[in-house]
Amino acid sequence: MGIACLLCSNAALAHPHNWIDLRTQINIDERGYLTGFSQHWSFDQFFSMISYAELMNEYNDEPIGLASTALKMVANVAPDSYLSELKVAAEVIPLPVPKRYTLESVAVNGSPILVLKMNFILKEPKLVTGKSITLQTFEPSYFVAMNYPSQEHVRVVSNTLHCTAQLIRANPSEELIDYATSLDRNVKETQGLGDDFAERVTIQC
Amino acid sequence: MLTSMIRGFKIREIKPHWWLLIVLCSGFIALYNSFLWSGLVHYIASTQLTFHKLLNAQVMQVAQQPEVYGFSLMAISFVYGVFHALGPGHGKAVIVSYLASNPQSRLSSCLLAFSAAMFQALTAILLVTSLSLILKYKYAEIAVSASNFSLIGYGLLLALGGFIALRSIVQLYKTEKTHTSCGSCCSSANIRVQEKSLSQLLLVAIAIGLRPCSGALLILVTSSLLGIYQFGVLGTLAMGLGTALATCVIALASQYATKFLNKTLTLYSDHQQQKRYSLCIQLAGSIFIILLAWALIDTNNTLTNPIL
Repeated sequence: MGIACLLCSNAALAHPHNWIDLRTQINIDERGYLTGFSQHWSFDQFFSMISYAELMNEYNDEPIGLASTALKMVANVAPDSYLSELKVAAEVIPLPVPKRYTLESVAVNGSPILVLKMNFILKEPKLVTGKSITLQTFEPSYFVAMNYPSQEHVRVVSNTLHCTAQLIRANPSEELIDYATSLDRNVKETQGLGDDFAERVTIQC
Repeated sequence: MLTSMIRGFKIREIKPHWWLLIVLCSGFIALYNSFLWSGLVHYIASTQLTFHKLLNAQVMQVAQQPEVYGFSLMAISFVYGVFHALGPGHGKAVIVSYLASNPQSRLSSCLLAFSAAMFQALTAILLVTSLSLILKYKYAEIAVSASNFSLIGYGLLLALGGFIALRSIVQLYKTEKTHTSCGSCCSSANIRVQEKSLSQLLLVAIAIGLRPCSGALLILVTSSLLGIYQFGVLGTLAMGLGTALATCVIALASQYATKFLNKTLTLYSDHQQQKRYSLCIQLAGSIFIILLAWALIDTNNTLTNPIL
């Protein structure tokens, strides 16, 4: 994304450069199977403003521009498993292509905020009774910080089971924070950094 | 064998001006690797971010009510420019080390500081105007161009540092050779090491100015997106002016400091020795410029958002 580079190529600017607010809903069916989850990514004001202006410039049509940008975004994050790692007990569950994905523009204080909504439906639902589910969503290079603004942004929907969701904040060391915020180096040096700043959602049914 | 080497290496043979050079250089290298440096970088990053957010919010307000907020955008830009110059940054570091090691007149010092800041503003305006308004480029591409421009500037700095270093080494070598015939050279007029060289000053200004200021790019890009590009240009010029004035003060300060140092050194040494001191300071200054240019080339990058 252009503007973030404008900044980092100049000032000794630190990671992260963009911010995403997360909202996740995890779906469990009446038999106690995890069927999938849906996620909303709300991009920060600056990123949203520039991206919105760019897509309007390119497509001259809001619905077409938003749809094309959504396709680009989903295609970009697909090789990285949509930036999410889903585990049931210790088993990593592969994520399918999102069944539905849309990019929406919401006006906040007169400027557009872009929200990417994705809905993942697992190919094989997983029985989760008595097991713990963990979900981590992060961008590996930490160019983009992805955070849940509050515990309320994580929800479990289940008709029959009583499930509790817990949000565990990352606890990176002082040193690591210093390293990240003083970082202005190449991509290689930042790979894997996002992991250390990743928040973890755990669900117990 | 080691002991004989140590015996052969007599500390008294190291002349005072070599000590000066060693102390200055090791000081730079220590600073570059120290916590102080990383703390400094951290501080700049966080303060810049606060300022960027403030500028961004201001541009958005101008878009809604240009007649009310147009002036305050320029005022904030000006203040940002001053802060930008007072905070540590590569442009100031180059100007200060260049002026400290290559003494110039008061007027040329100010001229250098002023033109470097204005070049920086003009580079930003030129870049954004040509790429976004005329060629309809995407901002990702502006970022790449900005980064390439900066790289050319760093290359120039590296070359300049190398040139000054080489020249001072040659001159030091010459003064070492003529050491015994000191009596005759004292009367000659070559005590002032650095002659006025306008083209070199211009080169320094261009090398610094080729890196567009991030704050300027920010208000230019946002104002062009919001259809109030003229305010972005005015803000950028105000920012350049703020930087120019503050850098002028810094340049003058470094000029006075050098004068004071030179005077102090003259008190304790003859002309020949004084010349060696200035040459050593010049060499240390150019080594600092080389280190700085190298660090900037090393960290120059165009990282992109992996999501879009």
